[in-house]
Amino acid sequence: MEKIKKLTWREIPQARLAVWTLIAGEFVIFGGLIVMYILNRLKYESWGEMAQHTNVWAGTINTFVLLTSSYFVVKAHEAAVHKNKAQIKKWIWLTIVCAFMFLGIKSYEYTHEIMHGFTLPGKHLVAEGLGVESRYWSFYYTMTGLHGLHVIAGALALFFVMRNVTKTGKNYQRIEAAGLYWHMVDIIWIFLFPLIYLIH
Amino acid sequence: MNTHKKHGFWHRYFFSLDHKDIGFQYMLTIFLMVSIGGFFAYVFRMHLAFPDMKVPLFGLVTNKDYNMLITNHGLIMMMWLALGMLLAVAGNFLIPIMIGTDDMAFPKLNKISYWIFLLSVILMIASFFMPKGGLGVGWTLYPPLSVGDFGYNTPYKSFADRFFTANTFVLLAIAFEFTSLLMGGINFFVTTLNKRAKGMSLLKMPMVVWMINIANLLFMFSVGPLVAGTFMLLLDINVGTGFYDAYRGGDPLLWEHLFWFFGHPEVYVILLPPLGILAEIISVNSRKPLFGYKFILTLTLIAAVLSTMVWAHHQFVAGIDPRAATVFSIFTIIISLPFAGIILAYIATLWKGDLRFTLPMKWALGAVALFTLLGGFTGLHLGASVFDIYAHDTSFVVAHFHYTLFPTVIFGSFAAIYFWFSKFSGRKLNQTLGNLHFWLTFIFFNGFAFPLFLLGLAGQHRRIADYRQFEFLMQDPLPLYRKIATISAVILILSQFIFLFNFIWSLKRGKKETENNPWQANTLEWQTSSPPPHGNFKVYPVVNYGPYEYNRPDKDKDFTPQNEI
Amino acid sequence: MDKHSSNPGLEHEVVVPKEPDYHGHPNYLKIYLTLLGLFALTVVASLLHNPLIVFFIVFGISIIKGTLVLLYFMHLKWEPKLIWIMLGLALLILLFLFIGTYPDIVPVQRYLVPKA
Repeated sequence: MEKIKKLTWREIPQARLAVWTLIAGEFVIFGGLIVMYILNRLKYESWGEMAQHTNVWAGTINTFVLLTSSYFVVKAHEAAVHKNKAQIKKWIWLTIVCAFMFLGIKSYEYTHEIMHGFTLPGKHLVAEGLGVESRYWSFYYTMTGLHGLHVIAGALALFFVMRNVTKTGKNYQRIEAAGLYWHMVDIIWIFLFPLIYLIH
Repeated sequence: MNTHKKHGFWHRYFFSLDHKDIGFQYMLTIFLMVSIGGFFAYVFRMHLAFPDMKVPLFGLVTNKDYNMLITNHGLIMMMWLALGMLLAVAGNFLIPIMIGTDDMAFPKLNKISYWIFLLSVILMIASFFMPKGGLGVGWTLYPPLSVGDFGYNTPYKSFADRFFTANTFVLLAIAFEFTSLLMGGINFFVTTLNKRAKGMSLLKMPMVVWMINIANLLFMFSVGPLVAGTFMLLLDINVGTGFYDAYRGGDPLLWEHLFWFFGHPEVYVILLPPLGILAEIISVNSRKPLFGYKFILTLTLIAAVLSTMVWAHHQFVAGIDPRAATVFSIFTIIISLPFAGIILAYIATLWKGDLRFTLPMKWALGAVALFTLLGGFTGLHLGASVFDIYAHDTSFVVAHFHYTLFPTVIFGSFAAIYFWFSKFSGRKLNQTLGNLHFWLTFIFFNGFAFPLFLLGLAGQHRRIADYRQFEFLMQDPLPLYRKIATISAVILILSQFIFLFNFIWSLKRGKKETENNPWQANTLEWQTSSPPPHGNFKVYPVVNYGPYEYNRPDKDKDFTPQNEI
Repeated sequence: MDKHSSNPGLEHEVVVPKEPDYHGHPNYLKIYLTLLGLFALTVVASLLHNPLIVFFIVFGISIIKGTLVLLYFMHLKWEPKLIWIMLGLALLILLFLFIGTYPDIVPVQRYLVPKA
């Protein structure tokens, strides 16, 4: 890789600076939730049993989907740098397709888990005397649900930015800004996946 | 030449993209909120001093009413008044113009931030009218009380029953307000980094711009866990999850940690902008450079970092690990040092200065004196966990935080308003009324808050609706102190009407401000017209000097505007 | 950067560097395949028996994956230090939260009285 002159903080474009600041803030929001989850997970051994009722295959596929979507979004950024509208459209649409796949698989997972009585309020579990374990599901749905909302927000942002940029031919840097947000969503999932699905 | 047609009512008060208009919109909304919060304070103080009396304009205060009044007073003042006035209003008015640019980096985002803030205000006010009445769980919203009887151990209730409650609406209001402030914070930060005038390096920025930005960053980084926690509490209330349910292995202490993890940095978030405002006013009115610009900045950054390590001093008696309490106690005492340093720097600025006792200066001096001597020192008392075990939840704490919050938030806001009013409105506030307002506020604020220290030391607990149940609290002179506090509080609140009248009257009929720079100050807002045009400057300034070049030996004036050649 | 004053026609001294291609484009495909490889490792590691080892390997790999995405896909490697500091502060603050809350959650023994 050739030596490229790094930008100083004086030169970073506004949109990127704003999104990075937003990302730092969102890291603390999700981080707060994840820290609380980790602490409770460390405390309650029985949560490991509950984790076994998550669908590891669905989680694995979802992780693959999100990682791939991150790759697609960075290709879209490459296309934006070259101002190639057709390529931008293609890569962003692929990313949005990944978002839909992720949400679809998540919905399937949720449906299954709810049908087996692992619900957000956890009433059935409480009735069976598994009150402590029901809190695992409180965290599970909250963390993945909040993440899912961000997937939707990220996909919408990418869609609108793509439309705006390809229509007007201006503001190509917004593709990268929206892409940054998408990568944040991916990183959060990178951490959520093992914490929820894998560790027993 | 700047020409634009006169904007209509809706533009000025709702749709404008101009940061000055948006700051004004925030300010008016916050005036509304503080009126409500102040009214509540009036009612419950009347009840405390005169228990069976029908309070004028309210009626008889039941215990449930009392709980609702103190809870909402606290929430409104801490969340909407303090955060709103000092981040949103101060930031919007001051940042773009003091850094010599036309507007924020993202004006549309700024406008949307205000709309979301307005939404949060509407939700908060709506919470008073919910079927089960306003929220009465204490402004700190501890579960399981704040989960209400909708949560864990009660029969199933419909979602509507759970949703249309003050608990839900207050939490939603807070969530929306935080969103608005986060958006605003990003805007202010990007604006400050990217849109400064040519020649204005970061170290040539006025201190208040630094302070508002550091406060915003501190806010952004510390609010995250509380946003998560609020979401969790909302779910506990509306869906019946078990995050804070002790029966299911949850813990109310979990909420306390999440709340205070933000709650403590929050008080420094609302302290820093007033410190910035005081820096401006003190240096202008001492005709001296601010003492130790870099010193103050360094101390502020240290304090900001430390502030994220002290939060559990609000939980000393809540059942936290006593070893952790020791650590938090030590850090709490240490954090007094940077602030002491900053105040000393301000005193050094005053020292041997050509002091001008203008109205803003009076507010500033009052703020420094009360905050340091009575607020700050008693913070040391409370920071020591051994003393806090005795004083926790007593009126001593109430007095402490009123002595830290009121001089900074309220006196600081008034100092700012009296200082910058003529710049942004083009008219002058009446000085006689201003002086009357100041002295009445100063005297009767002390009359209200000081007795609370004595009451607290005598063992008077806070959040108690009726002290007559406690014989030891009915012995002389305690009821007298309560009456003194109440009567002072009432006069204090009434004195604010003087200000309100002055403000509204002067906006319409005040003497026109003819000079650009009536205070003979250096910073850039004083180098443009009063009021500034849209875009703030006819010709954008190029900065050559720092903001505190007063009484330079090589200049004949005793001040040097930042953009002087 | 695009700076548009709400008042065009005003003299506006703006120092705007033309944005150079400030970051070389790393080989995104290589990074992606590395991520997939690490991901596969994670899944394999989770099948091991010792939960503590699993935790460390899995969490460690997550950190590496996250770092790769940050550095290369998000071009953090070429971003100014300011961004690094902001992210570092975010992490630091989460560390404070973890340490400060740990003693009140993990080691605590409380009797869980079942609902009557």
